[in-house]
Amino acid sequence: MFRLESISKTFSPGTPRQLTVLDNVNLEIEKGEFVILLGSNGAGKSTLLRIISGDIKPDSGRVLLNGVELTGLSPHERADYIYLINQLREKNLVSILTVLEAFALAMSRNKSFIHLINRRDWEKHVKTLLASLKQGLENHVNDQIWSLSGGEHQIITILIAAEMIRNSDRADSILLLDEHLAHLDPNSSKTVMALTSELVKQYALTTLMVTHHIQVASQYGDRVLVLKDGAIKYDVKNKNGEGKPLQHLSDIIS
Amino acid sequence: MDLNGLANLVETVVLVGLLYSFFTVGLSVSFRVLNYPDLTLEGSVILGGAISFNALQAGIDPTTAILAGMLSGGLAGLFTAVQYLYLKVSKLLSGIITTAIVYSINIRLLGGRANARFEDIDSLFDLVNPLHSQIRDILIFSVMIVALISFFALFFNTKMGYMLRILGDNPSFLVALGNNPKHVTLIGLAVANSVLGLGGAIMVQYKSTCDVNMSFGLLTGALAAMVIGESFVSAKNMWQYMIGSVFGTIAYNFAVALVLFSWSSNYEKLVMASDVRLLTGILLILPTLLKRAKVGKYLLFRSDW
Repeated sequence: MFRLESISKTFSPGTPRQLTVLDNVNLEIEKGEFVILLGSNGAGKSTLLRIISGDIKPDSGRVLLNGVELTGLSPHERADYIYLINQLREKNLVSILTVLEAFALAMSRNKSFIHLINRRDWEKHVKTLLASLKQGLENHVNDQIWSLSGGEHQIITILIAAEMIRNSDRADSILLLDEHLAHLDPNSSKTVMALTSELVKQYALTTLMVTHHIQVASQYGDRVLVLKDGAIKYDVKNKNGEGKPLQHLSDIIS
Repeated sequence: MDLNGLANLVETVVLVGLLYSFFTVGLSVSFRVLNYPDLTLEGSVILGGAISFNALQAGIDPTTAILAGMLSGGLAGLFTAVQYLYLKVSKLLSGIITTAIVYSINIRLLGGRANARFEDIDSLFDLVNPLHSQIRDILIFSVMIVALISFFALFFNTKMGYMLRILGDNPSFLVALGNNPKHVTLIGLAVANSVLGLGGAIMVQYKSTCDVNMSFGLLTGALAAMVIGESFVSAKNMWQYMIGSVFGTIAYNFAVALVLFSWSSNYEKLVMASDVRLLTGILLILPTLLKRAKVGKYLLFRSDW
């Protein structure tokens, strides 16, 4: 189980610009749960995600995964427990690598530094994996990542994250999605979201996703949260995508 | 100029080009692979040379002396990286500071003098090529450069090599793989400056002299050679890229030789020896302009320097 214990964060304390973004936030996420976090701009969604990933230190509170305390660990030390996907695609992968190289490196993360990366060892596996998506991506394994479209890029990112979590010793890592649909056109956005949901179910990934789309939240989330005024103001289970209790959310968010 | 003279000129240009290729290769590791504009070059080259010189004077064998020079270059690179990573000095300034500090250290290493010569000590080249035949020197340098490129061709296929390339593009992915970008920066600059120290150590043994002003103009020269090499060869992997660097260095030195040759012959009224810097500047600007015009299909680095 993933737990946040009384997380608080104030930016620029003691100055006129002092801003309390998170005020004593508590949260528990069950293994395999797909939680979607909503909130208006500046509500502190990204700050919360970055406290979990270790990019921002909380003023107080603890981050725990299965009883292991992550609060003091730096971002790269949390990589075994947490995988963060950004809204800016160039932050997620490496533009100068080919799709195959990116997979090969992700699969070799536990190897030593002098390990020779042999792309061909992974070619068959990666092609099968991509072909199963029926997006024609298997024809692009030797293309450089910068040449992919925004949607293709995020699809590869999520696949790599899922493969890495699945292949790590700690299969109960948590996947963080920070508005990963933000810069996609409506069609790609649908494709990427459908795939996200499919992979989360298939691999039983514990997932915390941040988005602005109430529609997406009601359709895919097992559980929907609303962050407002530094606290979680709304927390409801949304089994089977009923969606009905969520229609009044826009009032709560704004 | 007769045919003999021309052959001699070409030989010299190739020889100097091969020697200076160490600097071009080392510089491209930091500037291109790591996307770090590391200006330590003029410091680490001479430090490698001065350490190698001292090792020889102390009676250490030439090969070990060269390795010592290489290690000292790597240390200079580490110092540059430490300034940037832990002392919050900017990338550009970190290399400039190291070069300034190392300049004073080098003069101390040479016994308080700006230059020093070997007395009755055999360098690697005296041992391998006692008659000092120019062709044989070219052969020795060729073997060294082939070894260097082969090493890097292998290195950039290891996980570590990929880590360096990832650092130059998106450090966040390093974090996702569970690696500390700071450690990769330290290793990367140490590797780049080891190559520079190695080149300096070899240069000092070849010239049988070490002069702290030997590095004067090396940085802009290596930059020009790097840019020329990139416009020659549109490389799809590191192996091709480094071959391009060697050709670029030879081409650059050929251009320099033409200026110097014109000055020393009938055109002395038109050309001055000091025009080499002018030429270097033009050679740095021109390929960059030409490259902007055509957009490459393959992106080996995402370097903005």
